[in-house]
Amino acid sequence: MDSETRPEATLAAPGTARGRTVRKRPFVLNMVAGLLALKAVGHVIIMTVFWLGYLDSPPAYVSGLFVEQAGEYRYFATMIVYAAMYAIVAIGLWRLRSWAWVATMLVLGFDLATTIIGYFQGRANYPSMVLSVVCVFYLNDRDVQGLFARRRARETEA
Amino acid sequence: MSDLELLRRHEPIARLTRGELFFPSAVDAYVRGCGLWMRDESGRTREIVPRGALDLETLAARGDTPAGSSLHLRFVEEPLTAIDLQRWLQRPGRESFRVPGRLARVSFPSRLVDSGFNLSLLVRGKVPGGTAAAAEVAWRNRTAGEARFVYYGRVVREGGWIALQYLFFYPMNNWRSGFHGVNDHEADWEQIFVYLYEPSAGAVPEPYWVAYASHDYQGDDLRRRWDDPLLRKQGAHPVVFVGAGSHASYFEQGEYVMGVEPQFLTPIRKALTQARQFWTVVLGQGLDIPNETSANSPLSIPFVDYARGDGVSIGPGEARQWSPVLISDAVPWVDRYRGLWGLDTRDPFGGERAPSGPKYNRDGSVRRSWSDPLGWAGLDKVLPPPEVPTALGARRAELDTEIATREQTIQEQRHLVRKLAVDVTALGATEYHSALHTRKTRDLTAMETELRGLQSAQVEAIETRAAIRAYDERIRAGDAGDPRTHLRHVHRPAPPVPPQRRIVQLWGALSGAIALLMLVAMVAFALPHWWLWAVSVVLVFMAVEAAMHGRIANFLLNTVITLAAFATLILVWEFWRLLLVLGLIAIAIYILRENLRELAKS
Repeated sequence: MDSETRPEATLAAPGTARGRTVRKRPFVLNMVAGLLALKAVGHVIIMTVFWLGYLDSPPAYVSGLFVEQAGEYRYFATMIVYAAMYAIVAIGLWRLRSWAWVATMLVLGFDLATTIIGYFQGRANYPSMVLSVVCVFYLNDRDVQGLFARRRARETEA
Repeated sequence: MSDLELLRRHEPIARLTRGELFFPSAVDAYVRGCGLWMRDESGRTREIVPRGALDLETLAARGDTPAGSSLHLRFVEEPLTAIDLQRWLQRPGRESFRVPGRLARVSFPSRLVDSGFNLSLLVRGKVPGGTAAAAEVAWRNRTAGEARFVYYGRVVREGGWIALQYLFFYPMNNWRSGFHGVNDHEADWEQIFVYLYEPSAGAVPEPYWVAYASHDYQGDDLRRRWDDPLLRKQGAHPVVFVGAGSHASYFEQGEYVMGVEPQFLTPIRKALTQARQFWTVVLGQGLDIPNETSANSPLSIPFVDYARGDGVSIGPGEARQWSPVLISDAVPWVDRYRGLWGLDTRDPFGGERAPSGPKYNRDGSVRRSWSDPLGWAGLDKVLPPPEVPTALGARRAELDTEIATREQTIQEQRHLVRKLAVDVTALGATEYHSALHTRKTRDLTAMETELRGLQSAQVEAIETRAAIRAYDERIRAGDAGDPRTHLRHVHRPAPPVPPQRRIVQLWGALSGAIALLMLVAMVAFALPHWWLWAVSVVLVFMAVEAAMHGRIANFLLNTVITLAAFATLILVWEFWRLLLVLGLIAIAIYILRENLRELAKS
């Protein structure tokens, strides 16, 4: 990990700007949060496109295991849940919330499980797999975990 | 002061655990209840002195054995039957011994290994079930109305120390059957030492070290200094916390967890530890750096030695007092009987075999604790306190002389080196002296090396002298230093275990067998996609296990990491050619960048 992404290096003592506490996040963490936010937006766009009738069926790489051959309403409901889930963890990560670390890992685990099963069923989604793997190993890095642990300690103290 | 007076002055206070059945006892009563058996070369055993006809004198007289034969005593003639055992367990007034589930404390793999250990008892020699109960009944009947608590004492004066050896004989070790421990065996010998020194000629000896025999510890780790705050004392008497059933001696009150790891699993454990080290230290993954010992290894069998000190107490100031018996090489039963003091099960690991007497090992050789009580506790190298200032003074004087002599040698050597260096410089001026120049250069190099060696030896001697001077000053100021610096491994009691729910204990007891039954079902029914079933079963077991111990979040996170690792393998499998190409391109770019950077600088 380079010095740019090392939390100890970038997370200096919080300064203040216009009366608000400003905390720097590692660049890669911003990327992960942004990626999850994009996934949330992507789900909403696909749902909208499908709802407007531009798609005959939900795309397999997005719909995953739970919506295949399901009814339209169930598909919409699942897509909304997915979009909400990604949006919540993205915001949590962005704000360095300790719960968001656990939640993101679980969401990524769910993604990995679906892509691995998809792989064995002949529906491999390698880009998703690569991104999930990179995100999991990045978030499991001791320095990144330490960042959230320190945050949790501060929350407890407060 | 006589030997007996010395022993009595520092005799220990033994605190046993509630539920203990056997106490430090007299050997004469035990031997009178035993038969003496001989195993001959062919492996057949026969009783050579019947029960009732044996006493300590006979035992000493029958101590010699023909080559290839061995002797052992047998205290229990027949173990209790299942019905009698149940009656014995439900006898009125029985002291109960309650423990938080041992198996529920540890991981699922440890429980599987533990089951394997229990199975191994079926094929190893072991003390039959019901033996401990029969021994308790027999001993109670034999000593009815005569509760003597005995230690066997011995005093050895050696190397400026006075070693007080206290030996305790218990009719039975029932650690396995009574307290979920490693082993059972008839008869048990345990020992502790108190080491005294004489502050001045004729003065009353003072205690300075105490050493307790304990599982798997030896040398320096066995002893504690008298002023160690973790050594419990009452006046001049050290307190010993005795392990329930095992009778091992501990300095502190508590429960001692020890992991017994089967030898064949050691390489697997080491490989796992290295993998975890790589994962956490090299890759920087996870929060914790593994610090694995045999006690917390996931593949070791967890045993607990309960030295709670909440049961019977024996010793000065307690309700029960000691009856000391002096022993030495001159006592016939000590010196002449080398056989085992109870049933010889022929267990190849030795754990279920009775021990030999106070002087001998099972193979008939003399115990180190008997022949060399100082070396046994690592005290051979330790001076008694009154001798320390004198020894330090003598060593300083020795070093002063050594330093002065060497300084003279260094001066002479330097003079020779300089002379030779002049020659070498002069000879190097012309080609005609090249042969002589080469030889003298070689000599000069050798002499310089010698001079360097002398100088570094001088520095070491000067540093040592300074350290000894400082040590001497501390000693004269009454500072004996940290009492624990000699300890390398300290066995401390485990932290108290929070009360466990019944369901957790039940799961701990049943999960191993359920896993085995599921495996049998998969094989018996030849399930399609059996590997998927196997993975599912493992996941379900791990999830239940994690839920039982309140670690479900950890389990889920570990599952995510495992999935990521598996996905990585898939990616490597599918794109190894691309990854190889990308890797080589990266290396090429790196080399190019480094070389160009060097070029730019030059």
